[in-house]
Amino acid sequence: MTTPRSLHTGLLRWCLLLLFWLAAVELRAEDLNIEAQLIWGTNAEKSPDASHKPVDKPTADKLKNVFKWKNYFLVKNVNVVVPSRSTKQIQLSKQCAVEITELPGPKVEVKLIGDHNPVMRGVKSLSKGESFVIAGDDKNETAWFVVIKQN
Amino acid sequence: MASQPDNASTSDEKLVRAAQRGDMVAFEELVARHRDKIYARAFSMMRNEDEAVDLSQEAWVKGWQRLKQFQGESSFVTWMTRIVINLCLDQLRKQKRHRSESIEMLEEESGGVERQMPIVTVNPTERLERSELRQRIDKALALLSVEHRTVLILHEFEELEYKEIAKRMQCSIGTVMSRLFYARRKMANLMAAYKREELS
Amino acid sequence: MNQDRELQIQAFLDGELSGRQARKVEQWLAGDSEAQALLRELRATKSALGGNEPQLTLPETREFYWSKIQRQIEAAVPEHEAAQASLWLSWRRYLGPVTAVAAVAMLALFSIKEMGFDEADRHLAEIENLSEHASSLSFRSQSENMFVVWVYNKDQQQSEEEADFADEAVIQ
Repeated sequence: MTTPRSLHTGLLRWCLLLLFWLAAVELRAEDLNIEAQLIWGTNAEKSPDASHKPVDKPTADKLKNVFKWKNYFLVKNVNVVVPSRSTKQIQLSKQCAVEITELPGPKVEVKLIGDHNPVMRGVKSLSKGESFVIAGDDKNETAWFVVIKQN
Repeated sequence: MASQPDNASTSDEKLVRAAQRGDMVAFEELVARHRDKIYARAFSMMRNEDEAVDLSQEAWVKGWQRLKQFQGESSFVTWMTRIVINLCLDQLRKQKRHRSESIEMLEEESGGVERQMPIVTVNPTERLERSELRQRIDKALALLSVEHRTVLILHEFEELEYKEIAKRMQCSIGTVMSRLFYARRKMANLMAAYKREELS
Repeated sequence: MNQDRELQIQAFLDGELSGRQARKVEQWLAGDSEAQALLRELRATKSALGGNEPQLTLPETREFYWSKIQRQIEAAVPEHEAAQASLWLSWRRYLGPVTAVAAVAMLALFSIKEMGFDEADRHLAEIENLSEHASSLSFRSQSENMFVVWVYNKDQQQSEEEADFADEAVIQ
């Protein structure tokens, strides 16, 4: 027969087990290896900035299949490690930065900062091979792209 | 998109009714189905890819806004085509202020048509594969002036009567007739020239 | 042959003449070989063009093209309605109705996931605009395994629409 005392102990044991399980899941959090690229999309054959080289073919093909521009140039490429449950800021240009936070899930929070002001924030899980792209129009019918991938 | 397989086999009529009730996913399926046709019509008239894309998008937005007015008296794609044509005509009118008179218009007005374009007696489109015929038509259309191309598209592809074309182009029926006549003769001569190039 | 006659031949071909006018044209066509040659040429051109409009493919992907249309449609709708419509659309777009209910129930009841996560959850995204001047729309390209957030300037969009409206007002 189950006494109130044994019931209480049993319940306590289950709570402790649950707490340990939850903690283990929390501890499962990993560091994130992130690649962030700032890319410029245009129909011009060359970028006016000679240091901007065309992006690699796989990236160019992906972008061409989604967006209308013919050519894509790499403005900046940064690889960072975002420690679990931490935030890393990546400066992609004078006007553009992203803050990347590793969240439980695992998910990433990406905050776009333009001219030192927050513009938008996105939270999403990011599997390997998937691209999280934030983009917008630029001058003279060109466009900018921030492409975030997990390595 | 999870709902694409559901809508892919649904008729236009059902999708239109759903869209009229505010179902944007149904409307998106209609856009996907007919976007090439609407774009092609805009491109035929504007002969500029970017303008055609913009105007076709604008047509879809207007289509959504006016959807409740669509009563099914014509097919949905015909109704949408009329919207994009009107947008193209508006845009062409805006551009007309900055366009110089074309040589073709001068030829037409000076009655030079008979001197410069002999009657084509052999059918230049006989035995052509359909895709090749379409390519030649596209090539020839690009060489017409805006006014001549527009009247040809409205009459031959859109199958509008002279009176309706005159109303949309804001000109007289006589002007429609002479433009259409010139455009057809020009097309015949161009197609004959392409045939001669092929044979030589 | 003067231009009047030529245009009458064309109108005859196009069925734009009354019965009486058409019969008159038929009569002088019968005795005029040049007019007959012209009619043959016009008829061949009409026949070649009919049903042979050049077929073109729109040079944008389905998702990107639709995202721009959707943005313009929603720009014409009050913001709270647009937010509801957009949220509704992203639910319908990325989850089947049953999975959507299940995912909401799961998220509500459980805060911690097991190792790995299901396909539905992988595509969920939370997007927040942090600037009063910016707005965004988002879509996913399944084929390119890409999630896109397109950011645009709300003020510029509004002034472009106002400029278009002003242009129309001037033309009229």
